[in-house]
Amino acid sequence: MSRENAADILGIGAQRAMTSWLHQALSAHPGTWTFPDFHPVTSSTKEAHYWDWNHKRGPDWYKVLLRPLEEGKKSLDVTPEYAFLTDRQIEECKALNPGARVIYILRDPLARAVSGIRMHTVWASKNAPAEEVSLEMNQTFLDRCERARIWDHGACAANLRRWRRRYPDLLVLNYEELRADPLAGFRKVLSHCGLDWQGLDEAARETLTERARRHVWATPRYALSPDCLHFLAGAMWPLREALTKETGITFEEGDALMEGVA
Amino acid sequence: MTRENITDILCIGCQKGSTSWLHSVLSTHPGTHAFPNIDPVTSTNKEAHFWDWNHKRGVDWYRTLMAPEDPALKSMDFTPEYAFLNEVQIAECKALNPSAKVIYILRDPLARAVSAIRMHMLWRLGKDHAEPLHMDDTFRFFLNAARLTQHGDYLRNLRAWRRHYPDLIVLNYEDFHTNREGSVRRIFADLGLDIDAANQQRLKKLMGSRVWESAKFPMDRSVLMFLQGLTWRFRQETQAELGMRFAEGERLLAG
Repeated sequence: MSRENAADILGIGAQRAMTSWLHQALSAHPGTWTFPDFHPVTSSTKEAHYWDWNHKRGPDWYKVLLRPLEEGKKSLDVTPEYAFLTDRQIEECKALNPGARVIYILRDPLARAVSGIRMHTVWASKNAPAEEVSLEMNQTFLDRCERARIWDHGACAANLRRWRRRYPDLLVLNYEELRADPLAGFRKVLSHCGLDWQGLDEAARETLTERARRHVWATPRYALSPDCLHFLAGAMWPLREALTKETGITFEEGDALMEGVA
Repeated sequence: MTRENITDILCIGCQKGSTSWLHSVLSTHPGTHAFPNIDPVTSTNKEAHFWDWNHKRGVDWYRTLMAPEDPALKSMDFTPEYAFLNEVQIAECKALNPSAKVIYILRDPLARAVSAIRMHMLWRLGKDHAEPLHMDDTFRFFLNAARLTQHGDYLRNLRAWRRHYPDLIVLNYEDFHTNREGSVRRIFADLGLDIDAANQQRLKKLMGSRVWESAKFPMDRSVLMFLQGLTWRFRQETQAELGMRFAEGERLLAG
């Protein structure tokens, strides 16, 4: 059987906005398919990284990687770096996956940037505990901002506009709402992906409910100096403004982060 | 003689990049022409604001405003808001001023933002205002008023203008401090004006004077860091693409 899409469900980000949760919860559904872990060619079974790392391997490689062994299952690729693909890449994505269901979880760009920098600090410090590392305004911090690509990941409004041009019915979720009520968000996801909730048996529903409640991939809360936080607030300010203008969503996380910072 | 351009020398910014000083410098040359001051329709005799404030008055209005009595003189319009005109507007500018010389002065993005905020504070709060600027709603008001992301996005602006004026003259504001004589000589030469024909007394005075600066209202460290973050991309991209070095911001942060 020839498949319509290489990937049937695409999670495009945002990085640090519960995409691992999304992937875990979705892969517990019997109607979905998760590709095998080809680390380090892929990142675990979640991120195929076709357009950034693996494009040179060609579309057939991608199709084979994502092809489900059981017919009729919906294949998942949740790669947060897809958020900032160029218009041309998204056009190619549409050609490869014309009927894919696309999901984009939006998070306050400031809070997202702080979380992204903490994730990169986990890697740079070889998993140091929270109280052992704090970030000051210096070249290391600035380099980490670059490496974490906070401007690309944070440009949600521009990313959303590009993706909507090809996938006008893309599902947008607000991280803050998802955090508060993951199960409600998850049911939106299922319905968007054409996956059944009612028809599932009790055990499957229980597993899904349990997974939807999991808190996945929290980073140690490394301290950032006031200079770092104000720098990030300024760096993300135009992106936050643009996102609110684009979606009408007012984010609260970032303001809460800045509360009481000298 | 019919004139080829409505405006022969366009300076498109940046705002707070010593465009007024440069306007005075070029005005010392008998071959240049500044239009009459009809404030508040224009801003002094320097900024005609055709594309933002006065477009509704039409092209003939602009042509009449800019026309020198001697058609051989080079007419000047130094409006920093032109920096972020859109593609359609720049195309119209090119049609009206096909062989105009275009000058864009770039300034350290943080220093420019700080100076712009201070200018808005001066307008709004007066020169005797003493309270430092804190990270609060007052700051956010000035942040929005100053249109920092439009004035500060040098590369976007430069790319848009270069599509129509590929030989646009780009300068670093700091060169007016580190090598004022050389920079000014270069500009006169690029504009095809003989610097020796300028009024040497007035020119000499300007060469020794300070570039006009806004009042130095104090700002909290948090505000400076916020502005540093806001302008960081502009700094990185401009330095990387143009090979320019901006040092002013570092000095500001060092106090």
